[in-house]
Amino acid sequence: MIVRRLVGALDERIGSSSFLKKALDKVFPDHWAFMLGEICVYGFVVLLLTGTYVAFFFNDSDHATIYRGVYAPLSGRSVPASYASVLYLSFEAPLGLLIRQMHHWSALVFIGAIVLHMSRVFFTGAFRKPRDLNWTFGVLLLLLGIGAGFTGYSLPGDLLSGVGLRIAYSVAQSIPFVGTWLAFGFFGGPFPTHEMTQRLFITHVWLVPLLIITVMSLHLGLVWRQHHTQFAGPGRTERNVVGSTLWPYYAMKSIGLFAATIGVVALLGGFFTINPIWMYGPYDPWKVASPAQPDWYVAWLDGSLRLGPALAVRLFGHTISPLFWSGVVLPGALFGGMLAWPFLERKITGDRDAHNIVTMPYETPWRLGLGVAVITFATVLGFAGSDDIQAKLLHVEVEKAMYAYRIALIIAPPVFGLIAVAIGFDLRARFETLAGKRQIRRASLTRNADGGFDIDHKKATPS
Amino acid sequence: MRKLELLVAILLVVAMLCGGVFAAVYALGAQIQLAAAMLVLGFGSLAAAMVVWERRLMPGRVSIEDRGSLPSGEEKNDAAAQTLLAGADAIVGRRTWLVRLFGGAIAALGVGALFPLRSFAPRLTGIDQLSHTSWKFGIRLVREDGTAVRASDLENDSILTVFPEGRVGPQFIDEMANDATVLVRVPPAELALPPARATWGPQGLLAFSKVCTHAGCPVALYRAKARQLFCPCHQSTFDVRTGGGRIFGPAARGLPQLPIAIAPDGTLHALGDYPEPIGPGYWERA
Amino acid sequence: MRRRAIGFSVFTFAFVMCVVATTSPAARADSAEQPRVPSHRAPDTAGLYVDGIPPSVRTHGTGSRAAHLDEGTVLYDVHCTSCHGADLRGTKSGPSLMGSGGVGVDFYMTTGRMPLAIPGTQANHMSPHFDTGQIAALDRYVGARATRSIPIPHVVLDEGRLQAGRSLFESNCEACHGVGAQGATAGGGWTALPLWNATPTQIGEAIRFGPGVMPRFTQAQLSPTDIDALATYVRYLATTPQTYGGTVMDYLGPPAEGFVAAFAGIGMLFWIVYFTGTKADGRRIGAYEDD
Repeated sequence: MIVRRLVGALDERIGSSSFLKKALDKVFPDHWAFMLGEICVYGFVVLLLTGTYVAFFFNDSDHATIYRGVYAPLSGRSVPASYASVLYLSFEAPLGLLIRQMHHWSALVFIGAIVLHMSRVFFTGAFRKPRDLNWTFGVLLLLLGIGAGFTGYSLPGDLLSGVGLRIAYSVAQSIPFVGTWLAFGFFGGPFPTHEMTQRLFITHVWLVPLLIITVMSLHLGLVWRQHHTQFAGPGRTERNVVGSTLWPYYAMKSIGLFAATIGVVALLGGFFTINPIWMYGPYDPWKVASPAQPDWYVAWLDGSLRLGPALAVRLFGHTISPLFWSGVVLPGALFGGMLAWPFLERKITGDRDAHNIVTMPYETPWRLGLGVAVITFATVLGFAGSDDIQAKLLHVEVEKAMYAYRIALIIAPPVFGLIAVAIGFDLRARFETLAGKRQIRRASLTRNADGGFDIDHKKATPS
Repeated sequence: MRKLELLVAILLVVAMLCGGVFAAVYALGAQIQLAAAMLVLGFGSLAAAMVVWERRLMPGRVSIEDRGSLPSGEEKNDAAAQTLLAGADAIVGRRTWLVRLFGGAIAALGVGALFPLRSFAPRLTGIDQLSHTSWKFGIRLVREDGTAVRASDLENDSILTVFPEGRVGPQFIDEMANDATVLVRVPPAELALPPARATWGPQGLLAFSKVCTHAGCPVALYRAKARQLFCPCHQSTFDVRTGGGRIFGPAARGLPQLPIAIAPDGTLHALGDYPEPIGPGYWERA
Repeated sequence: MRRRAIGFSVFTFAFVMCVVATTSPAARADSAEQPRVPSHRAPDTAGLYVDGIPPSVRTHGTGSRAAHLDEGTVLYDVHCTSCHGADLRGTKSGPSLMGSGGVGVDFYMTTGRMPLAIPGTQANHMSPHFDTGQIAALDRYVGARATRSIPIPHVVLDEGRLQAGRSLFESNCEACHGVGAQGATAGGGWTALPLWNATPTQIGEAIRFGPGVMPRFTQAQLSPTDIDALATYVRYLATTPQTYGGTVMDYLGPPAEGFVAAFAGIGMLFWIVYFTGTKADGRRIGAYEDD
């Protein structure tokens, strides 16, 4: 009866038992779509574990040192100490390369899972009141995830990420009035600087993770407080949650998913090379490798830089470079729109009620169309970010590919969006007819003294 | 059911074995793919065991939880608001001037606390350094290793990355990032330089900033026969013959051209700095 | 059951696509076999058949005249004149060969770039169409008439200069050919080709001649020992798989990694979530569904 004594002892000190009982009995809806967010959490846990491991090997100094490690082609080269430390981790620390690659892969998976999870929340309308606040935290988490990824990608002092950093610096510099201040503020001065590795390091291992942990705690805290949403169904109302309890069902499922996440990341980390910095070489600012691309979660920004108009504005002795439109205005509008959407939709539909029952995507065809259009837009940008690679593989001129992407960027989103709207209306009509024919009975369940449920078919369920 | 229990048992034993083999792999040379395979198999089996266990071995039941209501009701809202206001009243009362002073104190301390942020940008006083490079009149063009470049070193269709003499080596990496210049040679007859730069291509030798005017990538690809410089990052393309004019891509400006001349001994030297700031545009750029 | 089947097949499809997309180019990278036809070896007969006519017929089948004519003259007349002109000064279909003595002819012939099947397209690396003797004859023919001949470099691989080669490769080659010499787009419809099949001599020839839109590098830019070092590093790339951390995906970098993350990583996790998140054969639904 050690458990009883432990629970009792804790309760005497912090009065935990009523909370514990409530927590263990907390009900989660049984639907796969509600578990996408958990991949994000476990991806982040894997990131923290592997990241802590690799951080112990990383040297955040950019002082030139002579590489004397085992990788023959670079032997005797003068490289930044940071680069040399990552080479040591990759080639000399046993399994260091595996853990480093798992770290990088879990970052790609983490942000991918965030995007999937956000898509689910968007298409089912789970961002509506009372969860509009939590949607805001979610968008912030996506931004922070991208920030964490980009700063980490830029750390090792390799040629590929060095070129990317210079692009990021140039984008920051393009902002009117404050651009140079911002760029100098982060980098210390004109690119490249001796401060940047150090600053990227502290940003990557402390500042951004701290913010992610904070916002993620708020995000999960709100989910806890507000409970999960659920799809409409027999016995499901705005006032209840139907599903499985945390203990033992969800605990088993969730820990199983954690194990699966580790397994998947290990599969990628062990069998697919990621960021082979020994191939890229140390960053010498006058060199570049082709093709040059960022990780996928920044690819859409790179695509935006490629497709953006070559439009520089010069007025009153000042310059606004083309980077501003494609590197600042476009992502700003995209993320601004995402942050504002719950409030915009409330304005448009006039629906100010709180919702705990979420809808199937086809039930709101216009929202479905909007989401599909935005995702298409970002996808076209993302693919445009590797137009040179496609040009090589498909034997087309990269210039033609760029024009094709410019056209696709304008045409594809509305076309795919409208197709989605049409499909949505069609599906909605079909399901409504079906529902009418079947006359699905609704039941009300009441818990009885034995712990079972009494079913009452007559009692109407509020919805 | 017994079959499923057996399955879960096998999966757990596999996971256990994988843990052991993983340790053995580490001890015996730490082969990455073997180690990863053990992690995949081990954690995969563990996950599969838990999922089968939860789905098939545990008694299935549906639970229903009452959400309760988030809104506390008008009464409690009012009470909370009332308490807030009453408290504020106790603080302020008729002492609004004190409140103003308090606001002033907070604002002053806040603004004061922002000042140390300025230390993050120690070189902010030198924004105008963005419009200069180390190139000056008379400075010779040298290779990455510091050796001087002669006009005869390049033939038509050649390209070479050059730097100002005395500004190469690991201690000058910051300068090299912005001084980097590509030197190309084309038949002089093909040149169509702007009239003001008519003499900037002695014997068909032309020097351009290697920093792309779009996003700062090194414009390192040279399609020699087409006389075009091509940026691998975002595909901006520049025509050497017209003095670096932009012909394709997202760059809004051509590549700045460096005025050069051939000294009597055959070496090349700059006739001055770039006539305009190199690299991408920025707010302070005129 | 049906849902599970759909989920499983979607996942399997995505995973197989991923494996195919990532391993097939990598397999090419990893095999890194020696160049298919080293310059010292006579090519296989298959390479000799151009337009379906055995070269023996084309070069020596003109009767008794063949015996008196120089082999290079015959080869040039049959295979080169139509594009490069009888006077070597080029036509609408092909450039002048006046500057192509020495390395030019040898490089284009030993890499099988010429004769070109479709004039005006970019020539690719393939098996040579002629044997070494024929190539030497053509080289003599062009060399005697061209205004400029660059001697064929004598390239010696030197393991001791691997590091120097690596540095030179970063400074001069990888901006176009890529970090793994895997080839990349050079824009304008041109591709900087993969270097994995090039012999040391061909590497030296390309550096000196600048085939296609490639720049040419003079002795003052890259010395003969520099070329030895570069060739050593390029051959190292071609023969030493860099697969310490698994398949290198043709050195396509982050886009390929993103593809794998999306289809293999997220795809698998999506399927796992789909499987675990859905109720097992509706038992729990049965608790409150009374139909």
